[in-house]
Amino acid sequence: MPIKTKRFIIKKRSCSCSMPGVWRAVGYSKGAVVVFHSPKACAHVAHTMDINAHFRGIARGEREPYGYTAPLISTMLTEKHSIFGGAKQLENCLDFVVKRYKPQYIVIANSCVVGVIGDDVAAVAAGAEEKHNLPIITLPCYGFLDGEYYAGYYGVAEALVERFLVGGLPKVQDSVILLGDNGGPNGEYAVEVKRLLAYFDLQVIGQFPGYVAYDDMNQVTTAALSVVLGGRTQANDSLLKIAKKLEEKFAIPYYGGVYPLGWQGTREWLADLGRKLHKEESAQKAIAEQKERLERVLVDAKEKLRGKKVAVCIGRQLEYFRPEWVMEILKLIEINQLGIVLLDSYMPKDRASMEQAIKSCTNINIFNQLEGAKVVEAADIILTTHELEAYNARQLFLPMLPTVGVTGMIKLIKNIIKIAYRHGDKGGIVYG
Amino acid sequence: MKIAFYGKGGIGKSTTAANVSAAFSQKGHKVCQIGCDPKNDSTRLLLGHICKQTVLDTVRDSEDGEVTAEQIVHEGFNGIKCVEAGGPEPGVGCAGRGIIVALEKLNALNVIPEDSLVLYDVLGDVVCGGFAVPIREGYATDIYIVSSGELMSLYAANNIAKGICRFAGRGKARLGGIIGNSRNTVNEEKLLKEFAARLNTNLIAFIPRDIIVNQAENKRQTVIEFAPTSNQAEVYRRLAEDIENSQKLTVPTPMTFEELEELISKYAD
Repeated sequence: MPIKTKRFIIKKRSCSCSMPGVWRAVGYSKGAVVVFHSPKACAHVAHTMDINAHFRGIARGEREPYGYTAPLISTMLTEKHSIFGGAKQLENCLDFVVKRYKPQYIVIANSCVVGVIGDDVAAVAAGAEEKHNLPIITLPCYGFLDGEYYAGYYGVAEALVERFLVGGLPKVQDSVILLGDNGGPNGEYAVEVKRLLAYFDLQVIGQFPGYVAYDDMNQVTTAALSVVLGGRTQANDSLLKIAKKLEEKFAIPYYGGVYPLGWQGTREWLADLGRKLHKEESAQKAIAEQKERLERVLVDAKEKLRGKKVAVCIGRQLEYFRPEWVMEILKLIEINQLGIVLLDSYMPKDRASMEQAIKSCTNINIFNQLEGAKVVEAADIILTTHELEAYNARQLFLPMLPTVGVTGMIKLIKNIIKIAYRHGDKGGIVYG
Repeated sequence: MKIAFYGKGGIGKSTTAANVSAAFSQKGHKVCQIGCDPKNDSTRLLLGHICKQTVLDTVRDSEDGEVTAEQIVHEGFNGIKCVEAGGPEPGVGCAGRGIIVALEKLNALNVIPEDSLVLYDVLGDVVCGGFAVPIREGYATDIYIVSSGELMSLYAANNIAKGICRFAGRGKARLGGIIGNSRNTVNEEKLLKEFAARLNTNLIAFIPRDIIVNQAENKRQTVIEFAPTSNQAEVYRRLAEDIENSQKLTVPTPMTFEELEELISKYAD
């Protein structure tokens, strides 16, 4: 039976809207209000993003994340504004926002429509800023015309640094400011990083830009170190630019090592940080403790997964999914790997890149979707980036963001065991 | 018959269009002139004033976006129906989008009787997709380009020909001819004739420069109304006659800029 997936998106290149990036950059910064100078519908992406994040947090057992969510207001541009211009509408909207929400600052995100008709948003913002005596941030980003979420995210972060952060404040010893998002301060990523930083007696004082309240902006420059919550994608490039800016302007050194990802990645991340802080002993202690913690789980996993067969189905671009951490976990739990199936969602060049990345970390056979059908049928467990239609398959859905640190590895291993031991002949899916 | 006048800004499209509309109306045609320019001045000479109630202004000001034909169709000289698309103030919004919306609204309201002769007077050059709509979407079938013998006027005319050529494959719009509106440049008529020939069309009229046009404009009238027995009025009547009887509608063959420069230099002395 051929492999059928529930959803496929074939992408030639990354394309996204800068507006949700703008919102996310200050989404939980107390005092902020975000104005989308856009048709009403543009706001739904950011709105949905917020709701999804909220429910993901609840599903993962995170506590209610933040006390403040920045109101997102759309100027609700219509056809007539696309003809006569939307500047007056924006002006009225800013007046409304100031009166209704009493924000400490406003960030304006521009839509494609505004880019095309050329509203002078900067002039309106400058006028409103003077009128209301309130900082109003504008960006030269125009929705999908910029083609990138991170153009908006980075643009806001940079603007916040320029507008609100002041230098000359004394540094707080062993304090760290986290840069980036990755699910926020209570998300798995930030929590694990904080746990690892504690080995070096480092205390996180905030997460910039999206989670620092307006009143606390000054604290950012008191940090003794910034740590980038990045990865290998565009996010990291943007965040590294912010980290470098903070270093240049406020003498905050940064640690921009790629993810504490998988065991190898976690070990390197800890060792590099130890060298940077001249705390090699702390790093060695952390590595030893993490290793011991992981090994305890591995002993149990090897026992429980003995005789089980696994197949891996991958359909995401390399940019969004690195296979190394998955291959590493499968090797560590010593499970019988039947093969890796590359789904039909790739453009030829992207497929070749993924194949190369897989071959650099494992010698397990790679199959195309057609050939892979038998491999999937024979497997007890399927680790997959795309949900498969087969109702009886026991699937572990591989997350877009890799699980972080040993905590993340343990969680994934436990989920593999969980799906392998589903009652009777039942299939189903566990979200990793 | 559905006609559109294009040409460089300020070349005399609206004056020519209004006079041709007036001439058509005197021949007994039902005429509708539609100004596609945010300046709203196409129908000034027919109405005797600048049109205040444009399609887009009316749509904008109505609470539910709905308008009636009576609100946007105004009666001008000799029963000519006058419509102005309207649009944004200079430097804001998007006039091209305005033209698209205004023409769609006119279509939806079905304000133009089937038996009318419709004349679209379109802003300047075809600067964006919005201004190509009368050609592209089949609103107009016979396109006339108003031009003098000046370089930039011919350059604009050549660009408009490119626009017609681009959309010729998907619609009925064809080039009806060049209307020469004299600026008294050297060898102007000869140059315009050859220019028209090079574009695979005719110089359908050569309108001499005459002070009476300015005098009529100052009185907010067409020459046909202001000085009906004048030679200039006769020129416009002849032009209307020629447009009505024109059989030669062509897909133009635009020139390169270098070819255009060469042509102009040939008649420069």
